[in-house]
Amino acid sequence: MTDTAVRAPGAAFVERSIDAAGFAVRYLEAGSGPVVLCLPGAGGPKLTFALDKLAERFRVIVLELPGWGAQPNDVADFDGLAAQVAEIATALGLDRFHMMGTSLGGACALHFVTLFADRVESLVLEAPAKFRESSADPAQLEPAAFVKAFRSHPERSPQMAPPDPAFMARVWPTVMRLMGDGSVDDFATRLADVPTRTLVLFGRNDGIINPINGRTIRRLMRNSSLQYVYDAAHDIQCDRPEAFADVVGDFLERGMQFLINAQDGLINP
Amino acid sequence: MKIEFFHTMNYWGPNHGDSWPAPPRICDTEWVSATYGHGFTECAAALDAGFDSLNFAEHHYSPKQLTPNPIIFAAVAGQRFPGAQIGVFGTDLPLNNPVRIAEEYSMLDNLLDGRLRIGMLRGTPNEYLTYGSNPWESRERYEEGTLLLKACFTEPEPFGWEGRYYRFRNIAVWPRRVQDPHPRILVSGNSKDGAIFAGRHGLDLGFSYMAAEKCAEHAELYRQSAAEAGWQPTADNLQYRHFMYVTPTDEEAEETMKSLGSGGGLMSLFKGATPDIMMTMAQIGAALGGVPKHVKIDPSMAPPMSMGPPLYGSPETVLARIEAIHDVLGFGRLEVSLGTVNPLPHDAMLSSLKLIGEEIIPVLHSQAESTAGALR
Repeated sequence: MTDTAVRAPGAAFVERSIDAAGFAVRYLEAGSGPVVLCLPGAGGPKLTFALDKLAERFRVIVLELPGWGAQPNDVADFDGLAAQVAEIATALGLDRFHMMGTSLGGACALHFVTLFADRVESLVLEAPAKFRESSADPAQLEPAAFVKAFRSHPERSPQMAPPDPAFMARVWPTVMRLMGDGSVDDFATRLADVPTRTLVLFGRNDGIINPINGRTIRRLMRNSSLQYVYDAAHDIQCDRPEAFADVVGDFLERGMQFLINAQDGLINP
Repeated sequence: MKIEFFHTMNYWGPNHGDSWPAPPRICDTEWVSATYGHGFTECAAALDAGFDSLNFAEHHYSPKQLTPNPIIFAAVAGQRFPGAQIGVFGTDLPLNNPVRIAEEYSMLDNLLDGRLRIGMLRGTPNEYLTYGSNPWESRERYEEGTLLLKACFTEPEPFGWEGRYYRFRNIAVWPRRVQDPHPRILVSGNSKDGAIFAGRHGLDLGFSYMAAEKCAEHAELYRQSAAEAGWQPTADNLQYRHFMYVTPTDEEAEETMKSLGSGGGLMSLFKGATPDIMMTMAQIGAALGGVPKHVKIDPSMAPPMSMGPPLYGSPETVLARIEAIHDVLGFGRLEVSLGTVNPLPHDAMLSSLKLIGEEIIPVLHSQAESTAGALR
């Protein structure tokens, strides 16, 4: 049994709240150093061992997106949500920062960077849900199929929990409205102008967003790198936390020079 | 003097991308087939023209050279041209497993019945992003890997290697080489370290595209270190590689080169690269030049490359240029690729090869090889 199997993630994170963009926004924070602002997926903020590891090197702030808390959010599209995130970041005193978006949060992060590129030092997209060619509709999947699509290692901690029906009823209309923001062709032309260095991560076994959509982003964004994580599905952070933290941390720290292998190969002097 | 034909197997398709690595989606296999087909025709024309060797090299992820494994291509070329000498200049050794490379060259030397010479190179900066090789370790890995390769070629009993960077507890390379103990090995003399290493270990020395005066400085270090090691290189141990294009008049050559875009060398691979990627390449270039890992670099810290002018023009112009280089360097093997980093039209390639065969090669072959100024 590994160490991560017996502990719960997120021990170092502290929950805080701030009023911004018309919402009381909850957020979770740990670490110090360069800021990584994390936009979670449709399931809301989730602490993972991957984030714990990143918090050893960075100040990690995981936002609860407006609408995922007690207050509803009638924002029309991802551009609107991105604008709200910008207001929240300003309220947090963040001028320029790294941004990491997961799934739905990845779609929002993509919109954010087209609107506020000068605020983003670098961008990490974990299985971003903007482009969804040949992808699944999670609502249509049977429970067993959903687990397989979401996690290659559901046994690893934190284990998958069935979604809370009350939570789902509250946020799902917002999710559906945002995911219906289908102006993909127009959006592609917006992405082509984005200079921000971007890391696109897909688990090779992702059954929610087909990993082929990573190619689209790699093709559209000149300053991007597409990295596949082996033996991981949609939730890379939970399937392969060490691998996720390694590649993301390396990218955030070294930029595109993360492509260079800097590991010492000396066996003995 | 010998003259060797270095074929890059430059992709014939119209779309080469605008950065490195080029996306595989733009590669059309019909154009790949045309590339190899034309390539073999051009190799045949080169042999007909009197070239002494057909040479290939390792480069990755780029349409500029469709031979990421030149050993495979050399095996095919060797079968297709049974009398031809084959050169592989060369293998990017720090990217590869030296023992595996020793095995593959051992096979190849047998398949070619000893018609093989080989080169061990460090590769260009972009190659270090091919298999995730650490560029700061390049020099040490390269030197150790080359000596390990030689050991693989020469040890008669199973042996182990407890190196600084390589550890193999059990090595016994089969088949043995036809050439005893092994094919001649060339290393790059574009750096002083490489020249000294070659002299110290009895290896051939090759220069690529560099100005003759700079090559001569390094060749002198080569000769000094060889003397210290107890041997004396001849002109035949020195190889000089450059672009060539020969037409009846200088004007014709100039016009063709202008229409191709004159190349720009390695940098032409990166004309559409982002500043982040250029900075990454600069970091690797500096690492290969010996700048330590902890040093924050800027692009100016990459080692400067002092390029010599390519061999373009009429036969008279090109012969004069070769003579000038020879006067300075005293080399015995001239290795040329025709055109630039962009593909030369097939017909232009064939007509130039014919002219080289008629006007250049007879002159070079008629000259003694051992001293500078021999072309006079």
